[in-house]
Amino acid sequence: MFDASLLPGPRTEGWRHGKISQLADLPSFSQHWSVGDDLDSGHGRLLFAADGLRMSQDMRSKCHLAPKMVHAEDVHAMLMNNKTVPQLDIFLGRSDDVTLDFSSLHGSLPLQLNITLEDASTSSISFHGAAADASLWLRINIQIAHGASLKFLQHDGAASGHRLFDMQVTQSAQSSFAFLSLSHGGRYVRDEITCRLASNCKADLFAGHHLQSGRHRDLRFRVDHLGMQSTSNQDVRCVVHDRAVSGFDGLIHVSEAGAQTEAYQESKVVLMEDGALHHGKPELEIFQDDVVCSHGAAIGQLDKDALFYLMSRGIAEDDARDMLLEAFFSGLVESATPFMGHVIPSNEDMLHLARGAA
Amino acid sequence: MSNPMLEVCDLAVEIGGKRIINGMNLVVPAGEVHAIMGPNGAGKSTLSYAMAGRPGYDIVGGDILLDGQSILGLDVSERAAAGMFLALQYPVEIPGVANMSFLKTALESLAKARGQEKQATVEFMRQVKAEARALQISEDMLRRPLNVGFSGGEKKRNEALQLAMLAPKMAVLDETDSGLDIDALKIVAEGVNRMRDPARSFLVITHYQRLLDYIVPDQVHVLAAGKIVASGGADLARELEESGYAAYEAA
Amino acid sequence: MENRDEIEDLVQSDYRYGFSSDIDSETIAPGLSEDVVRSISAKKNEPEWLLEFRLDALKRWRALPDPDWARLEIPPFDYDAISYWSAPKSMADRPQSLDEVDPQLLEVYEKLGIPLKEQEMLAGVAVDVVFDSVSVATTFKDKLEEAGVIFCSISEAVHRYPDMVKKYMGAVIPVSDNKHACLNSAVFSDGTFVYIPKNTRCPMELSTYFRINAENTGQFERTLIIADEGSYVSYLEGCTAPMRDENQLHAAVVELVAMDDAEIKYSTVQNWYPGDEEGRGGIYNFVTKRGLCAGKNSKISWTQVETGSAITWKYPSCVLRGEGSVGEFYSIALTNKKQQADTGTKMIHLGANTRSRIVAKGISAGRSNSTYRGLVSVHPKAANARNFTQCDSLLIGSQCGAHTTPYIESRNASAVVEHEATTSKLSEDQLFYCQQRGLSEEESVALLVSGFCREVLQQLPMEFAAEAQKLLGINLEGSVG
Repeated sequence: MFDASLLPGPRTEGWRHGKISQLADLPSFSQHWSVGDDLDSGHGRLLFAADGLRMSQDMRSKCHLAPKMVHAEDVHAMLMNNKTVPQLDIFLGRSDDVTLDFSSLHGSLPLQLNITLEDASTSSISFHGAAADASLWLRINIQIAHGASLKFLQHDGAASGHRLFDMQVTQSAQSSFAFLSLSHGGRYVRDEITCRLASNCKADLFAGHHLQSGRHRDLRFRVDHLGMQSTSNQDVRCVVHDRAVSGFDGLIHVSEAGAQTEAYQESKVVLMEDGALHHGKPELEIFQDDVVCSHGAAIGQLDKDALFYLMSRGIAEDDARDMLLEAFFSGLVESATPFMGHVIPSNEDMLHLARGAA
Repeated sequence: MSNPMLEVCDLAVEIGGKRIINGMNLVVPAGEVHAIMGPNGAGKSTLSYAMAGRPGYDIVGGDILLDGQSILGLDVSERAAAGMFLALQYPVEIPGVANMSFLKTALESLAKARGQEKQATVEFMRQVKAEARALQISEDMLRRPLNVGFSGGEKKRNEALQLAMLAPKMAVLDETDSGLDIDALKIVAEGVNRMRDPARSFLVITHYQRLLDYIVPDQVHVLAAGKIVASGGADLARELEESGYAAYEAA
Repeated sequence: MENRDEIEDLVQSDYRYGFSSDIDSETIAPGLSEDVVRSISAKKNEPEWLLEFRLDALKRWRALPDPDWARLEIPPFDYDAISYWSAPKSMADRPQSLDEVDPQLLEVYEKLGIPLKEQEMLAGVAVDVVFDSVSVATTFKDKLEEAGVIFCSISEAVHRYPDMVKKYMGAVIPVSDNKHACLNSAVFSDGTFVYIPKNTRCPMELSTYFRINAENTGQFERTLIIADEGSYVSYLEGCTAPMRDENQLHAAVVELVAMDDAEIKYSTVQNWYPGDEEGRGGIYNFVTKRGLCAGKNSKISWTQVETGSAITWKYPSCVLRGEGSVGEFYSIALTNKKQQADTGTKMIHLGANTRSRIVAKGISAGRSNSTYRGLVSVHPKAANARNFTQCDSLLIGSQCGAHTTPYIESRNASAVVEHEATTSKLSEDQLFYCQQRGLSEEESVALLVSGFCREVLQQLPMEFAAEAQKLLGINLEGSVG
């Protein structure tokens, strides 16, 4: 078994803890890796199942299986006991809509995806999380070429099992990246998104989670402003129930080269019952004086006045709560919509998230 | 014969290599009020910043004399000490610094630079309160952080207060009328008129003639494309109000 | 800004307190060992339990790792190269009054701006001065004794009030809390002890000036303040040190205990020598400060102005155990040249209805780095706990860094925790405006920075606020333009 202390973060620095021990019962990974192309439905669709990978016809031209070793210094590799991690290279052209569908996955899967966007292309990716009995370790490297733009929707239809989701986005000049994530958490879910911005880039990251009793999710955003005149925005909303553990680490880093950066971050957390735990670390790391940066973080309850108002109009307490939670999350999706375009979750999915079902 | 208060000789000013003021000449004798009018983009604000010595406003030719002395070699605060005052179109907000402390600090700095005794605190307080009353500035405004949360009118009245307290030789008022309603305009104009003095000159920079109904100038100059294209008496302002700047812009 | 006339003093730049006094000191040879600890304890004629306390700490210290999580580059430190005891020799026979104090010592204080002789005449401030390791003189003792306030050196308290010292020393900051506090527990030299009896408002501000003088001497002072039920005390601490090429270690421990309805206000203006332009020399300021709001409705308020030291590692914290207790932290951290500061606070909400407020202002100039690091932790029983945190950073120049690392965690659904932070630069518009009104560039910078820090400065007692403002100006000289 692996040594849990070798896992990446939460950046503990002696002050914080994570719930790393929960990972110790991570099952061993299946080593089968086969490719089939019997998937006829779906535009640009990849389906990941325990027994291998299926892809739609038009996806085959965009993909390339790469049996590379992961980097030796990569901490994640330790997790794999230095076994080869299967890699898939995906090339996106003019305007591709791609679905990465893990919802039929029930076993364990380690996978690295290398996604490259061509110059000035506009693409979108929809990611569907795996089932509650799956263990998914996913490293996604995304290269967004000059002037290109990518929208990424990460959406869990239901609670997950184990998931380590580590996405590194490298943005060339004048590119843009928008990310929206909605999650129910899981037994152990850690999602990390790192964006490295060259000059004149935009990165807009939105995420929300609704954690029912006993669920867990750590979310980490890191935006590195490495070039001039880039802008970034992070907006996170979390609802946490009893015995659930929620974490948000958000970092804005502005390097010496990041003159005229504009970067914002906001997180709002609602603790529904005693016993819910949220830990937050909204961080700023600034090496440039010509910047506008701010962050705000708040942990609290549902607005009692609003709750009272709704109930005074005859709405039952539970329904009133649901309404407020719905409003809480739809606020997030509304802010994300101008950046995500058509790649947003359906109303039904939103309701599902607000109710925190399954 | 004594020197004119302000002499601008063949002035050329660039911002980031772009020529904004181009061969401008202007003489304001002591005790007179001159107005500079002009269309947007004529270089009015550039002129005021260049006179005050703001970094980034590069004087690439000509000279500016204040009371017969060139001020080009002086930095911003040295020019202030020499008697140059600029009332800003958009006075800057400075959080955490009380209005009155700022005034006192400025007065003490000026006194120090001029080698004068600093004003006694009691005398200072008496004067601030008297001037503030005349400009309808409340004691609360004096205690609040400088310009923070002040309305447009309050900011301009506060500039007039500074003008009264610092008593410069040469006061440049940059678009002082912008953002003012008629009552506030009158208060500020009265404040300026009270300061008129044979040993003090004013340069009133404005887009509209309205302000000049209350601060009546001895001379009016039209600035277009970086130079003075016409000069005349107070009537010139009213003519401009009717005919507009088009004729001058074409020229 | 009533003190603009003192601006002249500021114009002569560099470290104003950087003179070194040639005083014949009795110093233990450098190195850290059980023998050294035993001999410190013997010199102070300490009881057995305290020697045990020290030896236990030394044992634990060896096993503890250096704290490595701060955003600081700390060069490896040779603990055996410093001396753990230094006492001015003329103090061997303990002067009974100021008249007996070495005149050269007094001159040092006068240079520091705290002439003790005048202090006695100035109403309101009692000063317990720590010069290197021995508490030199204590003023105003009589008046305090009348009120029942105990204000003495910790060495004296060990003998005169052993029960209280034994009970509370290490109670708020456990011996092995961290490596630096642990070292202090083993070798602490002297410090201050304060006890305010029930329902007593301390009749004056208590103040201690610390100053490191002897070369290669770490200063390990230890402060313990106990405010009994319904009492109030305001304590001021100012620190300066002479200019030297070597780095000096300062690892203090400050413990505060507030009983029911008691209030302690602790203010620090720290201006240890920051090192030169290239980062040579300067104090390593590794300080552990923590207050325990033990009783209901008690209050502990920390205010700090940190302008000096090569490296600052400091997190004055509040453990809010008593129901309805209040913790506050107001901080200004200014770094210039190659200084590094990693400072902030921890607010641990244990009891119901506890409240905390954090206002941190960081100013970075030159090639320095300044980090705010804070923890707000709401425990399950802390119903209705409230925290508000405001962190603002100001950058001056393009080679410095300003960072904000707040940790927030809540385990109670009725708690509200709010955090806001901004980062900005000194505005060119503001600078121009001030200069147009006649302020020099340096005056303008000092004015703008003090405006930026106003919320914190106004927490300080008047005379301290003026000094702090002056220090901000001095330390920023030459950083613009």
